[in-house]
Amino acid sequence: MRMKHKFNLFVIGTLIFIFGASATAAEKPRPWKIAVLIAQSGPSEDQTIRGLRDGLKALGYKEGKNVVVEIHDLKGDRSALKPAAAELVKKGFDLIFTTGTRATQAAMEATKQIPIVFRHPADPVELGFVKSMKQPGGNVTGVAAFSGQMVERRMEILKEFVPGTRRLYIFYDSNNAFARENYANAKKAGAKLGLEVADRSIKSPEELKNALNALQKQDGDAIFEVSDDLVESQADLIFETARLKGMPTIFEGADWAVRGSMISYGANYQQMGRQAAGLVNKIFRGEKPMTLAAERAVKYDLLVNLRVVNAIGLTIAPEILKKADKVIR
Amino acid sequence: MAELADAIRKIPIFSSLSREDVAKVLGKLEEISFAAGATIFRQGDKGDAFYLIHSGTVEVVLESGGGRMETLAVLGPQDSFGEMALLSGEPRSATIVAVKDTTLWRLSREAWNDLIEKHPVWLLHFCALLSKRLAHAEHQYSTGRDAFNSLAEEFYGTRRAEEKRFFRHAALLNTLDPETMDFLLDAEGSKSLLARVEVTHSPLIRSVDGGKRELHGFFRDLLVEKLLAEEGQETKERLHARIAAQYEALGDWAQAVHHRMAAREWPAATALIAAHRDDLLEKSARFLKDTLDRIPPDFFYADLRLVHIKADAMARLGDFTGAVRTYKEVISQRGGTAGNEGVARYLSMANALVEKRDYPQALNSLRSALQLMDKESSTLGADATEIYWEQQRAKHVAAAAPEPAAAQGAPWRTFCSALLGYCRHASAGRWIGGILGLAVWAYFWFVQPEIGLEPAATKQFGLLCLTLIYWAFWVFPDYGVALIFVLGLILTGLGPPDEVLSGFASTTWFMTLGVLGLGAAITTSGLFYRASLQLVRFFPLTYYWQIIALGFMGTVITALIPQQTARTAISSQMLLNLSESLGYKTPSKASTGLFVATFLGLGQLGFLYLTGSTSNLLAWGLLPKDVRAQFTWGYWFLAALPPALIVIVIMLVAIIFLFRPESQSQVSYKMVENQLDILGPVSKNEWVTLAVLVFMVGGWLTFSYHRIDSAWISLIGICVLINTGVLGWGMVKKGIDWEMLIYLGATLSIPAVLTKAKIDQWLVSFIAPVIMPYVDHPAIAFVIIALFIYALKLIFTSGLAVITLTIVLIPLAAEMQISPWIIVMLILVATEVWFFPFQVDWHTLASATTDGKGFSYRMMSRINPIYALAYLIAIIAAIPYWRYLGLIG
Repeated sequence: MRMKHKFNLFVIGTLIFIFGASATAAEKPRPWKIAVLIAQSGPSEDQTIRGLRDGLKALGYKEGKNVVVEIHDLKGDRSALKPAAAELVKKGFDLIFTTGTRATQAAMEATKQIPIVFRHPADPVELGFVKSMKQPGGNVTGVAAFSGQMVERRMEILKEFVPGTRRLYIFYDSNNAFARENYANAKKAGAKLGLEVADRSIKSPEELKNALNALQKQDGDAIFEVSDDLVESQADLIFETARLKGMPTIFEGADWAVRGSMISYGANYQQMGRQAAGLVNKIFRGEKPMTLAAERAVKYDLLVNLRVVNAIGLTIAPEILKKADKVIR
Repeated sequence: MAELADAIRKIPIFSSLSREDVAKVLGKLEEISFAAGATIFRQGDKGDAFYLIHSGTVEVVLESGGGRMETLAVLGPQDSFGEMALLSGEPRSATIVAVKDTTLWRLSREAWNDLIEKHPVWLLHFCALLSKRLAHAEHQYSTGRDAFNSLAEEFYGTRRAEEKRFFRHAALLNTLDPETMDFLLDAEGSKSLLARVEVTHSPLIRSVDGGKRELHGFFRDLLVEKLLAEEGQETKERLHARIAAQYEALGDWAQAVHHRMAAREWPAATALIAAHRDDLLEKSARFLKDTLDRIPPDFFYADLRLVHIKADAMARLGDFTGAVRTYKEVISQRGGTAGNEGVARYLSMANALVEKRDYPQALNSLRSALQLMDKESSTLGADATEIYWEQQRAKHVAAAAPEPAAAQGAPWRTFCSALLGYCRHASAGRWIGGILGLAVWAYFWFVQPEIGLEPAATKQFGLLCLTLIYWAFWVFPDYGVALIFVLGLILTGLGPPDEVLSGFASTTWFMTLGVLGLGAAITTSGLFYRASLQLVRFFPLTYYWQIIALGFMGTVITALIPQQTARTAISSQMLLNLSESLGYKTPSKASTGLFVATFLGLGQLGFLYLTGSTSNLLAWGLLPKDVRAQFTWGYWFLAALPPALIVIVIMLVAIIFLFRPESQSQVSYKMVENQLDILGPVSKNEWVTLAVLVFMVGGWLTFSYHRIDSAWISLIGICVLINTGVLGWGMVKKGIDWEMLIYLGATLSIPAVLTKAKIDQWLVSFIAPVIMPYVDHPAIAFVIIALFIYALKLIFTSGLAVITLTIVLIPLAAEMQISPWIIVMLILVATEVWFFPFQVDWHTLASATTDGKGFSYRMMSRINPIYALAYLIAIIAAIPYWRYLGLIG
């Protein structure tokens, strides 16, 4: 009897162990898989992704353990965007994170089910990414910088740092609706502030190079950038030309001054990445993008590249310079 | 006087002189008197005069080993002595003691030489005299030998077999020490056997100093004959080798060398001589010279160390002409001065100095000529560290009893230096580096670990790791490793060729080419040497003024010649001569002080000028384009001047305190003037070089007016130098450091490649957390960076530390809101620090050029901690100035 009792205890114990172990195995969640879709990476994309990773880490995620972040950088190959987005859907990612207009549009076309979180420089409602900031209404939500609303602010900054500014050259891709919209906003803001805006629409890098070579700099001229993929892909050329021709440059986005713009002003993309990580976390915890309010960028940075200032022969008063969040020396 | 003249004419050897010649001889004779019992000279002394006995009596005494004295002859009035040493150049063969009060006439070696030159017939008289003396000695020798041989044969024939064997082996020893005999001969009971034989057969064995015994020469000869007959030549050599090893264990280097030579083990004998050269020179220069004479010529001429040691030994014996001849023979054997202007200059300087009878400086010049021939490529800018390691290896070949290397002062320094240097220089270290590099590369390439980089970037990082490891372990030459890196990128498709090789078409590359060409022209045209001498002459020739002059000279010259090795190698010769002119021993505290002062400007302040070192040019090339445009030659100098001035002041004070001369200097401009005379008027090449120099520096300084890039100004300069023949084809090939240019071209694109792959940002993410907390306190951040570099330099060479840190730390500049140039300056300043000789190549080359006579590393290393401190102070003190320039926020 005692022997039988012992045998029963052994069988029960073994079963508990086996079921317990299998239950543990079943409960162990597989890592969340995030695909980052980028049309072409630049400083702003790098900052955003760094912020996203930092944010996820701060929320308790560990890369490689309970979350996987896979970068898909198409290095400027626009035609590859749609197939790439479709491929991501096929691979079964839990979430697609996008930076830039085209990448977000490609992801939206590829899926209506997989949640998409964007980091967008402008107004996502205008472009139809979300119905409203509070109620996105689909599988898309994200963080937006509303750069259009910052155009006027950037012009004010330029006038403050270079008081003699009278005319702004704006290069933009006339094939890009978003860029056209940005240009239109800039033109309005310029008129309001008494600045002449010179239209330099282009369609390709070659046209941009020709337009830059043709620039005849006069006193009070400056290059003003509005958010545009094509123009940003040729930023180094613009900076070099501006330096040689002695023209101030102001770019949208905080880190362009590090690359060679005289001034850059824009949302802090790293912070936007962190904000996006918060949205990702909420989606992983069960909230639906449809009802998850999109957010506005909370931090904007002003950077001044003093080397460029000196190289083009300008001087900026110390009290003005103090207004910069960061000075590149 | 008439009495003296008559006395001289009565002497047979002077009888053929005319009255006029006798008068001349009279003018050169010095009368000296000795009391009875006084020693006139000793056996083994340098032969510096010939003597005639005017009155009195002297005895000629032969001192044999162990202090035994034997009177060979007694000489009286009109007899002469001392001619043997003057004729043969050998030391005195006997001791001369005055038996009664004696008056002598002394004829110096110089006067003797003059007379022999004018009256060659005298030599016949002396030959006859020597023949007579030899015949007398031979007669005595033959008679004695027959008697001894009978006795020895009888003794040997009556011994037991093991005793016979013992004596055969003992015959190989010069002296028999009962205390060490058993050890040396691997025998037992030697002590009691010797004691027994000494009592019964005293003529065969006799006591000498220190309780030792000596076999009579005839007896030894007999025993050696028996040894060869019964055991053969091979056994004899094997026995010598074993005895040599035992002597090495006992630390008796002279005996060890003697037996190695007898065993015909030339490499081992050479290694011992090189390792214990000072000891052997000090104890017996004669022995050393004789030993080196016995080394086969092929072996002797192939090893420069032996040549230097022989010349030193001859100089110590007073035979300067022999030392000069030795050097000239070697230089001639190695192809003379053909195609090497530097060697030709040193040689002509040596000839001029010989004519002026300034033998020590002539020997210095010859030594430098030979070193320059041997290490020609190193002299003009290559791998002097290899020379150091060759020297160190040589010093440690005598494995049985390694002495602390001269470079180190304490056991811990020796240990650290050996450990850290091992990785770089031992062939095992290279193998380890080679395998490690491949393993790390394979790990990143094939395993693709998740490290926060994209797959392609991870592969690039693997290739970068391989490159860094190969550089750090010196697996291949640094420029070869750089080529592996670029080829790796191109062949694997990780980087497009035009991008990866863009460094070869960059303005930095052409700027460096021009600057290297100018440096070669300045050094080979003699302009540098002349300028150095003029500067030295400009200041008073006292120790402290010369310290300031040399510091100043170095600082000026540094602006013009970017290769530290070339600067220091060429100036070290002048410094050695200067030190000797000031009457200081070499090496000594004072001579080391002079070198330290020179190295302050020539080596340690390279960061002061954009063209101050090849590392500067490399770091400048790695800066962002707009920063390069901002930091023209002139602006770099302005921005770097304050920290340099602070270092100069601190170090000059430290040198004056730390290297106070042991004795007062003997003020003389003779050396400087001699050398300026020899250089003659300014040559055409010097004028052309000077004009190009003025053009280039002027062009760099006036960039803001003409807007012509520094690179094109440099290229115009080198174009003129080539087309005017100042830089001949040989100099273009040898004088320009093409290895450096390959290295530069291959590495300049690294920052762009890393930025594209985002590896730079990834690296910054590791460093930023350490530095960024102190971003508002640049002094603390700078000190942290500097200390990190001090540590890194224990593993990396200066060039490698500069390139690695520049690439890694420049992205941090934007975060810290400072100019990237500040980061570069921190790196360049901190990489100047060295604690161990292997960390600096130009020092080692200077040491090799002066054959270790210029300075002592042990003494020089006292200054190192002060340098480390001075650099930190300078960096911190410069912060307000850099803030004023807008380089720091």
